[in-house]
Amino acid sequence: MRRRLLSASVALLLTLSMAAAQAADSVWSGLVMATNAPEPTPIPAELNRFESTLKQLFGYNQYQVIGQSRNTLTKGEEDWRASSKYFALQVNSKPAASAAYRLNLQLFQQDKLLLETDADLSKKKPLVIRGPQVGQGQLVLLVVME
Amino acid sequence: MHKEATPPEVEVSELDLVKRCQDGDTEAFDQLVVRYRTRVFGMIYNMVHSEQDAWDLAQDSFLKAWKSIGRFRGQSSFYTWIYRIVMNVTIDWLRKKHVKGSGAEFDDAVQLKEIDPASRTVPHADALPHERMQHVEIRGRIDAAIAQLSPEHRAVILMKEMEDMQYHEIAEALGCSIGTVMSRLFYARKKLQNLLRDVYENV
Amino acid sequence: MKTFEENWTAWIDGQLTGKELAEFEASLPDLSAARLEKQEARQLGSLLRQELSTQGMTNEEFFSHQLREEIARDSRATTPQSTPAPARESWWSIGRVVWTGAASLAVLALTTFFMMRDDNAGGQSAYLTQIINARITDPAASPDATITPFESKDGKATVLWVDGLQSLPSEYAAK
Repeated sequence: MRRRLLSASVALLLTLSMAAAQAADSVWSGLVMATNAPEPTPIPAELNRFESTLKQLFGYNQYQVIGQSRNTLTKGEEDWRASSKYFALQVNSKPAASAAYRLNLQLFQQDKLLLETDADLSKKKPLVIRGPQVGQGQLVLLVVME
Repeated sequence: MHKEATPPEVEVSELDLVKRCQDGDTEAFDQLVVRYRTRVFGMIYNMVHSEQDAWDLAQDSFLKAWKSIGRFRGQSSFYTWIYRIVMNVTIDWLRKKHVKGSGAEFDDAVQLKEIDPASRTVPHADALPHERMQHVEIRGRIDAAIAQLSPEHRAVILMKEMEDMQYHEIAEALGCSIGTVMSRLFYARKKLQNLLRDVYENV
Repeated sequence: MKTFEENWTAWIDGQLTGKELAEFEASLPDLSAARLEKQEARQLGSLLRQELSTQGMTNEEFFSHQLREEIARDSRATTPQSTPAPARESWWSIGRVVWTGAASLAVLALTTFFMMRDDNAGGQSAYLTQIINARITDPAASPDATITPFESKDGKATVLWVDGLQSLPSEYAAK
């Protein structure tokens, strides 16, 4: 009997902490302009841990954040938007498997919808989306669970 | 602007590189790509006027070249061979996008009746003021004029003027006769002269 | 025999010589006007060479890198199946093979049935970002766009590689 009570308590605690952890998740969404510059500026703090990944993927030597949004997910059903002057990344989230969210992502160029996709996001791996070429550079979208 | 890299110690012959490619050596193919990527990209860009599309088409062209490298027999230069692939890929793409401009009217039979080849062509555009034009404006005018050519006429004028290819090389790249190349050059030049006279006279 | 257009082109490019050149020039109704025309054709050529040759390629190394990746992907996709081991006498008779196969299929069917009933057990690892339904909307805006999902080489990110979106001018990079 005691063992059963103990097991149930542990299970309850775990569930509560998981729910709490999920509710406390912070998600950073960024619109990043990747370019080549003769004297590149240092990579922004938000992109520090992805510097090598971004350079390996895209090859540019400068990355600048042109729009961003940071949101705390409580219920996991939040919507938010990261915008620059001409682009907007609309994100609609829903809870999915444990420690993951299902996101509907829409990229707008002013009022024109350029692309839409659904993806699961987890803490271990951010989403990196290659957007359109802009001038001599590239628009890159990032969605990161912090 | 970057120049194409060449091995500093020994100029490896292209035939050697191709043979190594045919044995599956991807590093050898990498060296060939380094030699030609900028020229291929530039040629395609001048055909399609979009960096993203030119990039993708250049990627497609080199990938096709890799896949069919076993069929290269050395009867032409590698350079002509790759241009054949590039032109096939680019012209196919342009055709699928239904890029016509006035290229659809660009029919040799029609032109023969309408143009007195020995007469001075008359400019259609209004003459611009006699002042130095900005590079961007000039480039825009050239791009717009080239866009009025059919894909095949664009190809011959660009291969002749940009790459300085011989008639037989252009013919091989496009899979047509030398006479057809020369005929297309004739009409492409006439058309561009009409459209760009004020530009080249004022630059 | 060459057509007029072919001779004209060859004449513009300085490819006619000797007797051919003399005959062609003699056939022209107004040689001085034609020479003016030739000069203009050469001016046009110079203009094209001067202006069009400035189109450089940004990120040449990345171009090669991307191509290498594509070739590697293509090679993996077309690698032939390994040849099966030569047949040898074994415990497996035809009857045993048939029964084992049927039993395996039954187990698989049951497992699949129970797995499909549970939405959360659809093979979604907590550590795997999954692309559920990638699509490009507004075909008018992006008629040739495609999305390819893959994992970055260092395994640190899930990448959605979108190709075919229209290029935009540099003003769109504004904050």
